[in-house]
Amino acid sequence: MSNCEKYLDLISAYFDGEVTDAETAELEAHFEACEECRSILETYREMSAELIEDTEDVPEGFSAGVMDKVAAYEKNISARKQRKNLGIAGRWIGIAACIAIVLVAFPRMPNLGCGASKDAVMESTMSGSAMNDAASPQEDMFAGGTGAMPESSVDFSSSDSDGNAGDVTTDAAPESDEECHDTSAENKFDRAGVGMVVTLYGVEVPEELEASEYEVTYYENGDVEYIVPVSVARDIAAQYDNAEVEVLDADIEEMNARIIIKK
Amino acid sequence: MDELKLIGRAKKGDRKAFESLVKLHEKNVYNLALKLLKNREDALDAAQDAFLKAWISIASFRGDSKFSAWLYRLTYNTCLDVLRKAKKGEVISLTSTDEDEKVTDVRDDAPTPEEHAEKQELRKTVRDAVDALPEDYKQIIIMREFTGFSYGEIAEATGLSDGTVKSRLSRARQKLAEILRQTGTFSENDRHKNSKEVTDCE
Repeated sequence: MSNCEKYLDLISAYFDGEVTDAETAELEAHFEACEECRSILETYREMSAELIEDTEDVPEGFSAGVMDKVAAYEKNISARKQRKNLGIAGRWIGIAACIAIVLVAFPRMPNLGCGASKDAVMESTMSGSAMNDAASPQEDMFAGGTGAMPESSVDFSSSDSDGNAGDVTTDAAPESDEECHDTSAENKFDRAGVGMVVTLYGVEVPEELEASEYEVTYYENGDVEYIVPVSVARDIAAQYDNAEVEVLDADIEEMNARIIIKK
Repeated sequence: MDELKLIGRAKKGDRKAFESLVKLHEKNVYNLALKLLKNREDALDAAQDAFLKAWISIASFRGDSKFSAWLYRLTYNTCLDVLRKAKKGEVISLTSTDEDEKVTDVRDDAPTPEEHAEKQELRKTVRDAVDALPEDYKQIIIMREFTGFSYGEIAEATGLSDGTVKSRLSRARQKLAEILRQTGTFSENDRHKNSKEVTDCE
């Protein structure tokens, strides 16, 4: 390798101010002796100046357009929260209703709603009323309310209600147990927010994820976090050998999972 | 109001503050998208989406990096997604054809029509040369020139190592200079100088 070839990467880095003091000294000494390399540096300067100057003014109404998208997004989010709250309220109403039924049916039963006796009574009752209540907001969350999003913004478009219906039934069942035992569990679920964490490394956003309804956070370090239905997370996790899956003792009821795509 | 205060307010949900942030950075973000996508409509959409992503996640912004750096990264990734989708659906061409003819300069800094025309011509030549670069080279050179990112920041945003960033940028510039040389963009003197093999000198 000749001297100048050795300096090529250094010239580019020197132009970008990405060289050490020692490299600067070495390169500047070389520039003194080498017209070719000085000329290369000058070429880089010219190219850069032309590139930087080649800009356009932003189209009129740009920032207003951004704020329209922000408003549409916020509207969509608040609509979803409303649906979710209604869902939670509906579920508690369902539970209250089933307790009322039990009260009427078994007025003198000890440890109402919890303990061994509930196995026989609560389970069958829950599957009839509260379970349906738990399922309906979930379907609603997956399937509806996407009209507010602008066409080009984050994709909340399609639904996944078919696949999720089954999960609602199987996953929600053990959860109803906890509700009977411990009402503080609801707070824990809200706080934890997810029942499953899938970490993927250096992969593009999987198509299944793009096709599902999700909430997303873009972190400064480049990581992107999605909150998605558990069923979607399971499908995605199954595709990647290096997927790290952590199951949390929370929120299966809410059917949320966190998918983190790391750089 | 300074940027930090605006960010603080936007984090609390102040949309006016966020709009001020948009106005501060819109030109750079839009032009970065325009360079990467070569189409005004796509660039407008991608740039606005990048800002929307910033709004969605601003609560998570801790200031470990500059706000502009975060925005540029969001823009860059949004544009790459657009390109990937276009590639799959072949909706828009990834290589420049007549598309870039539409992207012309709006600003007019040149004092005379002749100088203006000359400047326009030169810019177009450089733009064409950038478009003629392999996609990897094009993206890294645009990222460096338009965002002012350090090598470390580019490495972080692209997932490349610092060493690869350094060498790829160097190769990209060499290739760009070679293309411009072939088109006769540089003066006779420059062309003469650049056309000689660099290995000639000591």
